[in-house]
Amino acid sequence: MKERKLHITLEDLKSGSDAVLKQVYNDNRAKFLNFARRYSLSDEENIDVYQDAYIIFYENIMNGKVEGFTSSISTYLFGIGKHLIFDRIKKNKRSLNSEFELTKVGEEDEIINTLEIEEEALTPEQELLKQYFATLGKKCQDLLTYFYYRGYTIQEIMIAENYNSENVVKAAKSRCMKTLRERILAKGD
Amino acid sequence: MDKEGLLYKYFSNQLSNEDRLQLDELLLTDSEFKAQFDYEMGLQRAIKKDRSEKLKSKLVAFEKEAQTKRSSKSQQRSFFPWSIAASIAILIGVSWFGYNTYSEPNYNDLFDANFESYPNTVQVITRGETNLSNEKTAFIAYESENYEEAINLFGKLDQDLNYLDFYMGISYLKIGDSEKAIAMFKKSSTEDHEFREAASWYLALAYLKNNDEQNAKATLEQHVLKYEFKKTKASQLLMLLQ
Repeated sequence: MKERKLHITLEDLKSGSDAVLKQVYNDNRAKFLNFARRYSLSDEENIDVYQDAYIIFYENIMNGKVEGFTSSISTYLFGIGKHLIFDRIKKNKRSLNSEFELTKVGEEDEIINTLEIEEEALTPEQELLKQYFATLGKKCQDLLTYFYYRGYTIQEIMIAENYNSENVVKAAKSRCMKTLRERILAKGD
Repeated sequence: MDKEGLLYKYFSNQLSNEDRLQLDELLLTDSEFKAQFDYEMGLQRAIKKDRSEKLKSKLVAFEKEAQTKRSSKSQQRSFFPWSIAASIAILIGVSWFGYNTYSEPNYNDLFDANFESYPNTVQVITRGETNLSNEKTAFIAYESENYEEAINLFGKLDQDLNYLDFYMGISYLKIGDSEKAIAMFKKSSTEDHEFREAASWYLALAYLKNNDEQNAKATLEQHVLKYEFKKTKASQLLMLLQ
């Protein structure tokens, strides 16, 4: 049986291990669903919201927006989750439970201001980029992910991926970008 | 600062206030710069979306597991008379019997029933070996079922090696990333090498895992026409899907 960690650190989460991801998911699930039940969404929707909140939380860790835990993981998830529930209720044009209106602005609402929450759909051009990004070799995908998703500097990428020099990373990045562009252009031929 | 340097600083989160002003100015006045900025922003969003979709599918799997555990626990706790339990067992049996005719197949069950990993046929690994090549280290991870590490190590090898896509595909299937597995098997099944037939079989399974019945069927149809690898199993699976 895999060892359960008592305290999950930021570094544990950044490692991206499935075991840690699952533990955090399971540890906060019931708490979140209890919290979410005060609003008017169904259980199924609440699970969906929990997963979306979890993804946003994780993204903010990976892109460096969360640099240290100033609150517990569940507080982050509640904050994001509440924001997402608001959005869904607005979209569904459903009424809110009265206690919702009276909910005080708490710690979880403050947290939301420090995070990046974006839920817009991709434009057709971005869909193409996504589609052709997936056709790149693993090295290119990793390199571009480090740079554009995690905001690593060239030097940090060199260390993380064992490149010989910063120039090698720069050259590799240019090659990857060129391949991506060419593949998209070729598609239009 | 040159324009390229400015973009680099933006995406690696190193813009100073002064740089920010220069960037805003260029976005308003230099259309070529703006186009490049938008392109890279688009790529950033595309990668983000790609990552979040993959994470979502992992979370859906965690959820499924959590719900299965909960329901089996609550069943254990309840005091079901054995006669009722037996009737339920019979009902399950009957519904299983009518599986083909009356219900949609469960793709995950079909996948589990058919998927087994492919052995390492590339590198001979002996105990106590020192000075391991990168290839061997990758296959040691693969054989030890440490698939995430294997993917990482395969990714660092010469990308022209003809078995690479195939073994990465198996590793991705093992960690439940069926979309990446599909991409790998697609490449591997169109290239002319010894893994081509196997890659076609695994491509069908990866589609199944991805709940993509249409492509799973199309791949299996081609497979039974062209190849011998797991042909009988492929025909059986095709029948179940039809």
